[in-house]
Amino acid sequence: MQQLLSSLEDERQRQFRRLLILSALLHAALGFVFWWSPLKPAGTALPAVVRVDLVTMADLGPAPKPAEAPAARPPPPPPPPPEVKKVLPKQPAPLPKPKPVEAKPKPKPPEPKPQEKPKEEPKPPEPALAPEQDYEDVLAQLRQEAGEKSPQPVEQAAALPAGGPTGLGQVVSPEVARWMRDVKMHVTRAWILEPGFRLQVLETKVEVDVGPTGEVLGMRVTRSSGNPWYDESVERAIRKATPLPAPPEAGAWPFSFKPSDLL
Amino acid sequence: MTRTLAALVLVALGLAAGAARAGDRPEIQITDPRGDKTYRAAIQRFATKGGRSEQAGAAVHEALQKGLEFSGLFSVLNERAFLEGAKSPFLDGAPPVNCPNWRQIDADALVQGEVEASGEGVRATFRLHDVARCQALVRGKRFTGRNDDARRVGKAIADEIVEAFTGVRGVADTEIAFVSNRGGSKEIFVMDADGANARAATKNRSLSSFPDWDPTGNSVVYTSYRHRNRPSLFLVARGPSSPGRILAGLNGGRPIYRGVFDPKGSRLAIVMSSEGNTEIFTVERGGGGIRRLTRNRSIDVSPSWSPDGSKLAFVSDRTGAPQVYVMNADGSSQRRLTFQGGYNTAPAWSPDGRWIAYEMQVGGQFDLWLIDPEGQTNVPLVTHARSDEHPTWSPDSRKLAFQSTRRGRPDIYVIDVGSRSEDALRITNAGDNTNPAWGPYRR
Repeated sequence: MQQLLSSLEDERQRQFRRLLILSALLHAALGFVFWWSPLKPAGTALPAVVRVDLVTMADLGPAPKPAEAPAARPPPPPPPPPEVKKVLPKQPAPLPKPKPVEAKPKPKPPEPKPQEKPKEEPKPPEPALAPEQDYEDVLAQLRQEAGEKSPQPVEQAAALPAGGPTGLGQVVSPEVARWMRDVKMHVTRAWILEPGFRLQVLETKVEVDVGPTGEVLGMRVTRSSGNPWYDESVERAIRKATPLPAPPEAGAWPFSFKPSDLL
Repeated sequence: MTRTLAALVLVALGLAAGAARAGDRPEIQITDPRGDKTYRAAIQRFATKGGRSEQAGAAVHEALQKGLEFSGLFSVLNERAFLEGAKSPFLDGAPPVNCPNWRQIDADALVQGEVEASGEGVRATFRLHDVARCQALVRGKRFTGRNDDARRVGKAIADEIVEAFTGVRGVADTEIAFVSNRGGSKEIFVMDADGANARAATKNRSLSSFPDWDPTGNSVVYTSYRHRNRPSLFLVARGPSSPGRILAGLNGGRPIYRGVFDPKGSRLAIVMSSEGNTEIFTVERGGGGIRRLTRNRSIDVSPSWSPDGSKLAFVSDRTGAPQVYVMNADGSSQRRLTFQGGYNTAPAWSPDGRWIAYEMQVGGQFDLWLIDPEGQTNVPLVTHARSDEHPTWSPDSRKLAFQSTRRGRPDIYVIDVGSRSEDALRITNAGDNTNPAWGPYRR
């Protein structure tokens, strides 16, 4: 009897061991299946790490240089008219009156307009161009506000009112930025641009010697637009704007004149 | 010696440092001169000798003022604001210009001069000073004319001033031909560009239309029904006699509806009946060398030459509705230019070649639009609720004249193109006035 009990016990233990081994194998198999499962997402489920470097505009360095004057720039116009005496041609007689001829009733249109055919309603005219927003001014103001509010040193937060070859990214104090904005407004008011020049791609660069109280001591055209009348309008604007607001630093300041609204 | 050398070195170092600093400084970019700002001209009344000169001087002064204002680029300062006299000194031995005096009243230009009128005619000399730059732009330029040319002299001076400031001559001293029924029948009239001095050029007592100037400005070609009640081309010229009917025997005397001179004046583009519809041809002025440019069952009309004479804009309804097309002057490479709008007509190529003005029908009336010859840019110019039609360019390409019914009856208006202003100036005031054609610079 005892032997029977003992053999039953052995049998139970063997069964238990078998179950244990089977369970282990099943777990291992399941683990293997999950490990190799085709449902497994490719790669990591986490988004790739995007490295964000927070930098101030001042760290960026100079902006790319703008394209040189386009090749399509109109050739330089002829020099100003020579100071020669010109004789006005005699006023030609008014166009002569042909002999009256008999009145002939003929109310026919001389050139037949093509017949109007039923058409779909023409599209409404394109809306007139919205007035240009002075992006540079807005940008300058935003940057300046950011600079004044930022706890960081002003040199890093303040930016320029105007970008350009040496502009965007260059470190200037808020004082300089404010002065540049004021000068820009001042000179813009003084600049009279013939509407025809707006339809051309013209840019003149000048260097203006500004005295400590804002007086213009001299100026040089460093890059001509190729159109002497346009260059003269630029020089006229600077002269008319004299005196400029007193600069934070006297000396030579570069200006660029280029209408942005081409139409 | 050592001290001088040291000073020179210091100066050189200073200059070098200054130059370096200028290059390092940020650039101040001026991009947006806003508004329709104009140059402000101070015009001193021209000095005169004798009573007859006084009258001529007043005429020159008034025409000069009006001519500058007509340019849209200048406004004239009230002489009561002058810190110096209203009268110009005689130019011979005149004192140098005191720029601060003129700068103080915000003048950009100072005009001085003298007028002399005698039995031989009017003689006016002027000089022009750029006040802001304190430089003479014109030191002395003389214009002469007959005694009744004083106004023309003033306008010619105004156009010179516009050129001195902008590089492109003004158009005060140009003319516009147009059609008016103010005398009863539709005749060709000619007026100054500002609408003054309108006078009849024809008295056909028949229907006359579509005037177009010879590029010399000495004659106008137009269409009239005065010959056998059929449309034919006629020429009216300055001087004692006019050629009258032209191209009479062309193609067996078929009706010619319109003629337009090419920029050289040697050929005309004409619209002529052919095989039941109208086609465009070119022909020498004398009638030789006729060339057919369009050949289809549709209507082809309204030719307008490109300024170099190599191309023509025209209107065709070959796709079922009138649209503006462009082709070479030999008829090759015909291509459709306008795709917006169901009815586009009356193209006019600008003298500077940049734009083609045309009419677009919008809701039963016509607006004026501008499209560049490649069709890249297409913008509305005049979008009044009433019809604006028949655009024609001023020779400086700054202005357009057109007819409009905005007051009910058709009148001729002038608009500045560059400023996109819709404040068109009405320049006719009697009868129905249509079909303006702006003449060339007068020689």
